[in-house]
Amino acid sequence: MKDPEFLRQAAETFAELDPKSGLETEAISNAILATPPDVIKSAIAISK
Amino acid sequence: MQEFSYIGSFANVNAVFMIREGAPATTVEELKRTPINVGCNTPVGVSYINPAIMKKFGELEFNIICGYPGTANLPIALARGEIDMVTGAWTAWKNNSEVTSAEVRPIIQSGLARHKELPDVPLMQEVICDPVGKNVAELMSAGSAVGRARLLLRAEFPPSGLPPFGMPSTNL
Repeated sequence: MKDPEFLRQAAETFAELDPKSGLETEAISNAILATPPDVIKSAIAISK
Repeated sequence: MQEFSYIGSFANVNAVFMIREGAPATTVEELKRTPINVGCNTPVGVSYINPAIMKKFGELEFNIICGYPGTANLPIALARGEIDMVTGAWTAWKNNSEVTSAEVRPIIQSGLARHKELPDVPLMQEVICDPVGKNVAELMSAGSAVGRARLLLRAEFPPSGLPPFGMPSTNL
């Protein structure tokens, strides 16, 4: 995110920027998918 | 999902527990002893799930009221004193006049890392002592860290790192 025009437009529209790369984002997604079953069970119980 | 690759994420979308000035409890320690009313509009959104996590695993005395028809009703209920706390995205709250005038302030946040504008506001998993509870808080907060993400089909943007649509890699 170095494009000056993109950064200008983001500032004009008050868009928040705190970027992560695709690999960083995918690592979080993979961690979600690898959640142990007992944690998922506890999380589901919260929603009931 | 396995057919898509992340290009990246523009920003985190941390949610915050916003408490009003004059609430019966206004610190995390006080919330462990003094009940407060927490407003919510759906049992499947952060306005319910985050307070429910903190009630069960953080042992906070929350009376969660899920009768509000939409998110727009919650700040009004907070201003009227019907409720003492609501949970919602910091990006939606931060320019609200009640926040800038300090009538309402964030006391806890959800995410995998503290928002850069909220370095002194603890994450849910930092308040919770129970190990399973910490894991549940991190799991339910992980979507905040993915945040404003963008995806492309792997066929269009293979993991080799080629930039999409001819965008110069220096702009990524």
